[in-house]
Amino acid sequence: MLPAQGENNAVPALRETEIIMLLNAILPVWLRQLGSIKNQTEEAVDQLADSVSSIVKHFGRAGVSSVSGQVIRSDVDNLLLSLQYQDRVNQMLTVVIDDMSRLQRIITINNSRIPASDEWLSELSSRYTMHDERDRHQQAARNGDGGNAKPDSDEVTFF
Amino acid sequence: MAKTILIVDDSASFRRVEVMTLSGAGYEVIEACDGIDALDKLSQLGLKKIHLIICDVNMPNMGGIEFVTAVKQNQKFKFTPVMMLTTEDSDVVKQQGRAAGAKAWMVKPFKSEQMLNAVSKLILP
Repeated sequence: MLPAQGENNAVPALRETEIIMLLNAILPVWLRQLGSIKNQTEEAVDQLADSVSSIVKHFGRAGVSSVSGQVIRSDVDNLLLSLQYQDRVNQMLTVVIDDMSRLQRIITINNSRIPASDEWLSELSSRYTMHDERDRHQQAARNGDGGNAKPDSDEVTFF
Repeated sequence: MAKTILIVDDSASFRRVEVMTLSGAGYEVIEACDGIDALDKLSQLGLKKIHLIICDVNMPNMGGIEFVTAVKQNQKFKFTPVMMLTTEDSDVVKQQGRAAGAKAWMVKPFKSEQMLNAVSKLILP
């Protein structure tokens, strides 16, 4: 993370310029790669959804009376649950992509204010929607390893 | 006659999962991709009745909370139950949904059985 203004005395000016040039070259590549991953995942899930939809239509005609019908129904329910994880992954990727774009904007605009790392991380965490995202963020901010956060448990709240 | 549910979500793949779950249980489903689109679909209903709205929170153009607020200001849909279906699980945002007029809050991903149970509780006989 780039230091806040006024905290960068330890970084020689030449090295700072080199880091900015490096980031300028790398960030567009990372963004393109992540964007491609996002698109490919969406396409794969669309195709999978087509197949599930087709199974559901055939299954609907077959009915649920037989034991095999119940097994298929259970498998379809599991598939429908799994398909939803693409939406979660998509949202998580979007937050990271947006944040990388934000960094890219800051380093490409001359004289733009460089926020302190706490400020940056706080703004980033305000865009999370899921518990496990917040947990990973806090763990990573504390000790650099946030990979163990568990996904949210399912729940319904009636008001 | 099949009950009609309006689903509002910006993710096309997620809407497909909702449609498969709900239409498989005999509900008629109308889709909208954000709050603006949903208001447009509601305005085109004519005499057709919507029995339930299932709505995401974070969407472009018009988010779920703003949409529910707008829906509840319309006399025609004032008593139509709304369930928020979202990855958003912060208590603050949940309370915003409740204040806007939502009757239930379900966190994604959902299990088919869980969704259908909630729907049957919310849809008026």
